[in-house]
Amino acid sequence: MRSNPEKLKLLFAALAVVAAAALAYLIPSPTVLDAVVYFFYFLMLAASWNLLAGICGQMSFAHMAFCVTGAYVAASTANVLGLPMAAAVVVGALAAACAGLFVGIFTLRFRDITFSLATFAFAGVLTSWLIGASDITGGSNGMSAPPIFSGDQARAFVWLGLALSVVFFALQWLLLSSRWGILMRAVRDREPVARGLGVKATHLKVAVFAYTAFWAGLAGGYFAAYTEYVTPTMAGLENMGLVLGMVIVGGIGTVAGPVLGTLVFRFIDFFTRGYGGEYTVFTFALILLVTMLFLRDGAMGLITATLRRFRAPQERWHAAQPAAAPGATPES
Amino acid sequence: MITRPRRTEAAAKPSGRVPVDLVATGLRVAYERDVEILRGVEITAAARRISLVIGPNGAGKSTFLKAVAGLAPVTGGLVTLGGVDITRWRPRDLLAHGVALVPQNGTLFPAMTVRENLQMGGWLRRREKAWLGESIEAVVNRFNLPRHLVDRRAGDLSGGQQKLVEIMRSMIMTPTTLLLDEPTAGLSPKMASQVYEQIAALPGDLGVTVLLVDQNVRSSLAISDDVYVLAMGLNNDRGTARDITERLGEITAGWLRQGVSGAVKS
Repeated sequence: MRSNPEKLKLLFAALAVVAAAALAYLIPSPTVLDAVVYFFYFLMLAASWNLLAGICGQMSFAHMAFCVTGAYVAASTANVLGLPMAAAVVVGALAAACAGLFVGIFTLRFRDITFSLATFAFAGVLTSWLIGASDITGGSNGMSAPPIFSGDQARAFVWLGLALSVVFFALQWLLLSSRWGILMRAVRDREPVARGLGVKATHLKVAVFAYTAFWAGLAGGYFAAYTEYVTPTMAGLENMGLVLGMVIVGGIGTVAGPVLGTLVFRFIDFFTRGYGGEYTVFTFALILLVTMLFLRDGAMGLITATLRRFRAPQERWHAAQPAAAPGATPES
Repeated sequence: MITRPRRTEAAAKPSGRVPVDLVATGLRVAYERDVEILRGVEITAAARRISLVIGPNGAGKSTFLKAVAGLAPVTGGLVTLGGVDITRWRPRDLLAHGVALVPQNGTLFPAMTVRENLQMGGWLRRREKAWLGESIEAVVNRFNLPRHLVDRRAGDLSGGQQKLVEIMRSMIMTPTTLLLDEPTAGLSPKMASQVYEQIAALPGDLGVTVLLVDQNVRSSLAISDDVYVLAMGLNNDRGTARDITERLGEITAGWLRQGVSGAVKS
């Protein structure tokens, strides 16, 4: 798995992340800084959803619900308990992880589409509650949140976003190169077989669900601290769709895919923002459609195919080389 | 939903296990109330022998294997392994106790390499890394799998090789009893004969008790020791492989008659 093109792709993704941060450093205009902070926010969401859906195979629609849980808990603990916002963001992320654990225990008993629908229902209930319980949450007006940094806000958030993303990918790399990597793919591809071999699949799924919910909550808190504001629209289906689209455009199940997908989306958003949000969504939907029609494996699939063209032709194996019969000398 | 009680004693180390008889007595299975698929099946898979279960479509062959493997709802009867009651055990407990199932459909993880698939086979003993490595090495050598295939994606292998890797994966935990459900379904005759060759060598080389369910009657009879014939969820006939081979025409003719009368009855 860790062949040369794999490393190249990772390098490419790392370069993209660093380039985004460098862009903010070189062109310190507020628009660019703002776009880069949004990039890291969506990157954390897309990358953690990719871990859950692309690598562990659990197509959850509750990711934005956990994000908004993190944001609201962060904002309210900072407002009510007077906690510093940085600590409140961590509390929010932990609350999201707890919510993930709780929701996961109930929804992960379902499989495939039923699981997706259950998470969808949870997200809907949470959004409705956020709008309805206006005396607690501020209703559709949302809730204000205190800032983390004083002074040059945007630039500090760029570095924070970069640091959090690096931590996420480092942890993911550790996770995927451990037994858990094999295990998650086993549960994604053939859950009943994995169970038969002794894997506690439900435990694994709940753990991954809670872990990714933690990162969604952290992203929510990060965003809430940046905008100093939380609204229920964050949990809306449109945002969930965007995150899903970014992962699919980039290449679901790959490490670098979410980076590319988020990058593509941020570029579109950056250049169409002046014309109104509909154009952003329209352009992105178009790209998503083209990706699904012509690039089944997303942008990463395209890159892999291109890289393969430059490599020496691989030794092909086919049915003319059956396994040696007993008694024959094994090849080695 | 039937309950599958946890059997912690089953997790005992499999080292030093001796092959023992797997005995099913009066085994009954019903997926729905009043619709019994098995109506009291008696089968003994004798230690270090290959026992074959054959029968017409709908006789309950696969259901029998599933019931033994803890995947079908057993409503009555007993399954014992060397005198230990293993009825309704969960697959993971059975595996820890030395009973491994190779299901009919492709069950390899296609995106993983052969080595990773084999590692998954030893999941219950994953913490004993040295042991697991040795076990994988031993199985790869035993089945003469070409070295260059070990790090290839399992999904890229041919059907016959995938089947062999499935059998290899079930051998990682060094089971004493192997349950095989139609191992050559969908394989070309050439591939099938390779798979049968490997199965035939299991009892002698590794001391494994094999319980084989097959529709490929002629080829599987050639490698079997004892044969059981099921029909309509009941024992219909039994004998040594040679005995059954001689009477095969008569037996299969009986299947046709039974198929008709069964259809009339229902």
